[in-house]
Amino acid sequence: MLKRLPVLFAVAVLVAGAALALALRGRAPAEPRIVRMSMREYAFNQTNPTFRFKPGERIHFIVTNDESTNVLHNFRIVGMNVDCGPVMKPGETREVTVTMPKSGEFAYTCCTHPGMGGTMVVAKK
Amino acid sequence: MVVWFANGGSRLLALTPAPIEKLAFERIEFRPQEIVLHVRNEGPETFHVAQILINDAIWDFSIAPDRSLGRFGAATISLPYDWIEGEPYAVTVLSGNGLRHETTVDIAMPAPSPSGRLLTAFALLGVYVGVVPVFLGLLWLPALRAAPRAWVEFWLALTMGLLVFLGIDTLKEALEIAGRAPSFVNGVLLTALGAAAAFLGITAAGRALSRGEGSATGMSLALLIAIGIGLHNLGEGLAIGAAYTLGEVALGSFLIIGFTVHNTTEGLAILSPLVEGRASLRQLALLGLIGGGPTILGTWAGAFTYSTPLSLLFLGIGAGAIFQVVRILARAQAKGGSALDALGHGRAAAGFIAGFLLMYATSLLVAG
Amino acid sequence: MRRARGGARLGVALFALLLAAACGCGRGERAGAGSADMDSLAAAARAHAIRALTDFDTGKVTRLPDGRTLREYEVWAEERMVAVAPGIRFPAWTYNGAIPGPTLRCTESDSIRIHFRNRGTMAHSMHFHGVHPAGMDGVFEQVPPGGEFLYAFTAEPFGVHLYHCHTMPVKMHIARGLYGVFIVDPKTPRPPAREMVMMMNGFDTDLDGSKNEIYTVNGFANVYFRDYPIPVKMNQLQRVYLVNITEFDLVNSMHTHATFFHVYPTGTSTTPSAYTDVVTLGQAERAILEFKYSFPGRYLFHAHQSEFAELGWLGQFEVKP
Repeated sequence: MLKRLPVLFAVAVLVAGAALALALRGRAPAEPRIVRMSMREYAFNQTNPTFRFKPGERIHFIVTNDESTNVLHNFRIVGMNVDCGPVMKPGETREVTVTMPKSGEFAYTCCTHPGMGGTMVVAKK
Repeated sequence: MVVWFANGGSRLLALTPAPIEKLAFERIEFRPQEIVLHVRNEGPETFHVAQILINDAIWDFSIAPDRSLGRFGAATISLPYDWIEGEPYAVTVLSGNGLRHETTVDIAMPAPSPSGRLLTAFALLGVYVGVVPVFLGLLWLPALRAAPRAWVEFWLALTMGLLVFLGIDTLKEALEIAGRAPSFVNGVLLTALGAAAAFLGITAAGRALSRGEGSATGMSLALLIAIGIGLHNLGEGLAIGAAYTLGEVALGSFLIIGFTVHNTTEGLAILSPLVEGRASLRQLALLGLIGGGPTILGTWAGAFTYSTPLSLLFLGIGAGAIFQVVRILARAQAKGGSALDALGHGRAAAGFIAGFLLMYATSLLVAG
Repeated sequence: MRRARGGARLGVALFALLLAAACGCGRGERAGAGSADMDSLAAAARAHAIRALTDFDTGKVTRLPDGRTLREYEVWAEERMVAVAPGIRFPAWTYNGAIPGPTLRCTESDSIRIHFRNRGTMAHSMHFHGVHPAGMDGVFEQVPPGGEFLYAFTAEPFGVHLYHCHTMPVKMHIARGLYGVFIVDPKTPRPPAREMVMMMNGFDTDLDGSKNEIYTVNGFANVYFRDYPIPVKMNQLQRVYLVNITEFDLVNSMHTHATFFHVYPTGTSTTPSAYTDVVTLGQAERAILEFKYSFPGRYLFHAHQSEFAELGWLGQFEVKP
């Protein structure tokens, strides 16, 4: 038994390595989906829509201040670690990538304007 | 009968049209510009979180994993709010049925997140409040040894009085928390469970330590007492850590002095069986650590992962441990007789009452 | 021995069955549970609030031999679960199935007939704020469940009024939602304006009979703030028929941002009594407000009791050129 130990050890390492490789391959991060949000007339995408995402989905938010007058905005998603960023002047953009959690309803808002914001729903279906 | 039930005859059981709801606020954290609530549905029906009010104002919020909480289901609610440190807040959950579930925080304190600095701070607190006083108490050993034999009895009785007071105090604290907690009966049962477990556990430990010689004496007894006190201090540490997190208490230096004196007397309790016999410094140090060390663990647990059921369980364990230790001490005193025999005569009774009074006096310092 | 065991097994089985049946049936939840149902209730409440802003029920119109106009209205009382805020349902007592009830409109000295049917499970009535004979007052003539009553009187005086249930305990019959606006136009019509009806109310959602948890205008919290900012044409005369039917709070109020309005208390005069931006009303008090917006943009309007505003009585006008 002792004599065979090095061989056994080598086999164990190989098997473990193969398993790990397989597992990691399945987990390769997919390209994040791009979602654009336009802040105009004190609203996101005109209607402050309710977004629906799947759990674990990676989303790349591109948030732009499209106001025609000198109105400053910023952007946060409550409960997803996307905090109020620096204020954006008209024309400025903020990009942030988020991995959606397992489930829940998350409020997105402009931190400076009450009522400007909506909900992101994360659910399996 | 089954047919009657199936056809809605059980409507009689639902005596009121008002829905039965019970929402427990397990934890409230004040993070930078955010308030996070951890809630759990303790009612019999599904709970729908409809609106959240902070100081009676409807507020935006995020909720995970779901707005609907099944039986015993939990949720984490995040509210973007610029809270002010030290000020009180009332948070209300309005359910789908329009019922209010409110909790208040008297003093908003930033949520402690395990950082090296904070861990060290709490550890030091535990050392200061738990370990050091117990060691101070242990320093009395030479004095005790020099004292006349008759006083040993007195000291042992004092110790028992001390411990009984401690046990009753622990139970009182547990019942207070259980009363505040949403499901009263479960709280009391949890405490009782902890007490019973500790009681029986210490008995078993005692048997193991004395290796079947009957009752434990000397070092084994001191060890048992140290374990009992250690368990009690675990609960105490939990209380300190939790109070800090729930924003309920401003731990002033006044309070810490109180705790310190209170715990010095615990060192005395550990000492009593060692007055006759030998004890090396190393053994004494070990006893001190066993008695005082758990305060550190308790403070960490209370500050970072507070939960009412856990705290009630540990308080119960603490109380049960103490009572069992007292019983062991008493039987050791009575040398085979019953526990009450030990306290029957003058000096012992005086000692017991003195112990009680001493703890009462020091508890006044802790008062809160 | 065998029989004992068999008997015991039967006993256990029956007990389990009983328990299962009891658990399955004895639920005290309010009817209509489930979030899908909640969504449709909320959608209905939103739609009703938006309609109630500009819907006027002028009744079935016919000409009387003496030349006067006869208007006939159909109103019924029914109990119904409604949504009063996103996610919150309320067991309401309503006129015509929603809160507030229909806005009944007529002209001074019209002959009015309201055919009232009680489709509820307890007595109800309709009490009008106006001038009418005793038998039409809706107090001593209570309408039993399943019953009917014909309220008939001449519409006077002109102004903005209201109607509500007057069954004891009145506090509860009002708080549960039995109310609506009653407008009597003066014979000489008021100057043309874009007209809106706003009925301020509160909802005691936990039914403890002492305070409101939610405040709204036209029945759904924050509906004109989040769901439907009210479109307004710049420089156009706006006329709001404002009625306060809030129970449990002594007063309510309305404040408009960035503009002032003329106040016509109870609408019984064509001369305004004040030019201001806040009007405070006790329960059942009402007024006509007339104003214009001179600049485009979004403007809030809300109770100036900020606690009401923060519990749902908040809206905005979206002014466009």
